Amino acid sequence: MSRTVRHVCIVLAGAALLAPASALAQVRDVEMKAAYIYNFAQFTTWTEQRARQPFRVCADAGSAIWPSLEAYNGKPVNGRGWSTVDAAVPSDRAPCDLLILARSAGSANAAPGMLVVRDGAGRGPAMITLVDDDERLRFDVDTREAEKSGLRFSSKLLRLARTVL
Amino acid sequence: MKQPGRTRAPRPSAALRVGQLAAAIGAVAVAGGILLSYQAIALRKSLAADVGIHARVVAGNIAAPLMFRDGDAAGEMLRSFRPAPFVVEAVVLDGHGREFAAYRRGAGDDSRADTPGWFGPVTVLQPVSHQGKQLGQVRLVASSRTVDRGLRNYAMLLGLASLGALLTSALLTRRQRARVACAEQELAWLAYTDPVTELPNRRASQEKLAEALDGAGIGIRGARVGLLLIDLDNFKVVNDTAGHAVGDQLLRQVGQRLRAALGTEAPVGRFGGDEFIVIAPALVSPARLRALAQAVLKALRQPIQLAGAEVIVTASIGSALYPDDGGDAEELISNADLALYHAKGAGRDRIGEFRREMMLATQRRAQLERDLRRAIEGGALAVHYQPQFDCADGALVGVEALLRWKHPEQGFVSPAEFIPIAEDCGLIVEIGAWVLERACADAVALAADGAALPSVSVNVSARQLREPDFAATVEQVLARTGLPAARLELELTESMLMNDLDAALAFMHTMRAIGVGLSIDDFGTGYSSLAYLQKFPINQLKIDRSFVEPLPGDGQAMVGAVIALAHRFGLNVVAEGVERHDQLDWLQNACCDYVQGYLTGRPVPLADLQARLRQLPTAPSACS
Repeated sequence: MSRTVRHVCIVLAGAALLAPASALAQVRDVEMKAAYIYNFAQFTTWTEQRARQPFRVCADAGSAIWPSLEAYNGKPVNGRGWSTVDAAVPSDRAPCDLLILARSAGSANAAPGMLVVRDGAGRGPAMITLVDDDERLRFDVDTREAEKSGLRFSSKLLRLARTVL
Repeated sequence: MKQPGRTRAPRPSAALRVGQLAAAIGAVAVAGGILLSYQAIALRKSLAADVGIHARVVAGNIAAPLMFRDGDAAGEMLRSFRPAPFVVEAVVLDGHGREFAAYRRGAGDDSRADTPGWFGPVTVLQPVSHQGKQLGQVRLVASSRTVDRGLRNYAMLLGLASLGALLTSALLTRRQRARVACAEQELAWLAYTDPVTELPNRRASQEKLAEALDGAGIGIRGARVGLLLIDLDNFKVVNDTAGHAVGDQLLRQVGQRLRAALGTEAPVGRFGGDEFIVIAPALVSPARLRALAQAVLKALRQPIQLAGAEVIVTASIGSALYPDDGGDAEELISNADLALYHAKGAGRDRIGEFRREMMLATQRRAQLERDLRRAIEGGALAVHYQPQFDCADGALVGVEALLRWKHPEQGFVSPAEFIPIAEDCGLIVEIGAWVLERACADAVALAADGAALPSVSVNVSARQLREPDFAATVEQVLARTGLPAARLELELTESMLMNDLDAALAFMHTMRAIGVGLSIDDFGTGYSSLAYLQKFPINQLKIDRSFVEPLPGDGQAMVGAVIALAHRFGLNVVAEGVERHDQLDWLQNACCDYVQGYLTGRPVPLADLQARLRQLPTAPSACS
């Protein structure tokens, strides 16, 4: 076997080994993000409660995080059941309680009582922005944005945030 | 004398003080133990409560980091325990029981770990939950060193407080205790001191004597202890005539004299009444005790100023020596007392030294007294009769009744020995009455036998004379026996008449009134006051045998004078103890009325006398 071939083999073998690992890491990453988002809801106080209605979580059905969010369906958030809905399908009946924006998505028109979480630091403002900071998932909080929508965050959450505006 | 005796039991106040202190310390210890136990429990509970609060605070705050798996934030939160030194370990466990974050004192930082403490670590588990969902657990482990420290501080405070309380109470009770001690001293002084003379009293003296004997017993061989019992001879007279106050004054002065005369060598105590006791411990020789006794006599012979008059006090002293005269205090005192009794008997103002014979004599007296009582009950006493003859015609004129006692073991006991014993113990009254009755009855029996009735002489004792109803007794005996009163003659002694002159005179007049004859026995040996020959209603004198014995050589003038004197007063004269013919001859020539003695007839029982009467001797007469 020539040296080149040997090199190629090594690279291939390395890629073969790395590829599933990175895929696995990506899966864990979205699960972690979904867990974070679920936990954000736990530490947020909505001024006006829409009791007896499902907790509507709006996200892009095509995004990587969608399956992980769907896994939380039915779990309680402030006494309401978690319900993942597609943000692309408009619904006049009930507004979103929690809106998840992709990193590249433009700024959403903030509706009252809607918590906006952006997955990755993007161009537009968000109340909570998930960021990768040195291989670790962190988040920034913008309390001014939240205030506009009449939302309040628990101090416990703020303490864990990377930055708080 | 304010500090009598050192070997007595410790004073109650001292024992009380120790007891009180022990009780106080015990009470404080018990109270301290209870308080400390309570404090230990309370401190541990409080620590557990503190740790519980900390655990709840941590559990509340750690929920978010645990949910976001933020180990850094959790660790930072746990590190807030660094300034709380009692927290040894703080661990956060996640929902699966795995350790999520931990803080351990001493691990990785400069904080020093506390030792576990006496009560072991306190561990608290607190669940972490958020909105009703359990997320994990917080485990806090605290050292109980704070409990130790708190307890130690509390114990120190308690000790200081107890000490302060004890000191305060000691200060407060000291005054009271001093008062009690003072009263105790006063009591001890009263218990051991005679209030009149301020000398040690009987009790103190007895203890001192026992102490001295103990000392001599364990000390060098040959050590002696001397004991003097001093009795004032005429104290009773002073007390009766001048009053008790003067008597007390006399005792005080005598006490001072004795103390001054004897110094520290021999302490003096008042033994009771007018009796003083001197104890001479560590005596060198018997001669020294004699010298001490002489010093006492000499000191007392100086006149004492008493109530404005000079009084001369004499004393009799009984002395006894340990170990020669007694093996213990009781025996020594009793023997000194015996010696004192002998000194008194020998004429007072003298020293009686104890001798074994004194005790033997006393024992013999006691034995004789017992035997005499038995003899009276058993009829061992008998009356013998000694005839009295008329010097002029040799006729039997009378008999003297004489008591005889035949002892079952010792044979005849001399009346000179047993009569004084009977007088001392009072038996003489009973015996005298019996002799009187016996003699009267026998005289009547003699007459019934056909012989001429002689007169019968019966001796009367001083003790009998003191009996108020003695005259009545005589009359009853005469009435019972039927003896004519003129045939009875009672013999009295001079000394017994002088004792109570008025009573004696009254008795004598009563006797003379009913016709009973009276004679003075042993004339010439006592006071021999010529005045009473005129005063007393007597009709006979008996010349004592001691005057008859030297006749006819010496004593003629004396006996002759007595006979002449008696005749001048119209009295008969009886000479006693006539034993020889020359004595009888002289008496007949001197015109003595009657004679009595071994020459003319010994004392014999009644039956012998009756036989004798049938063949009467005749004596030549020289008087007309």
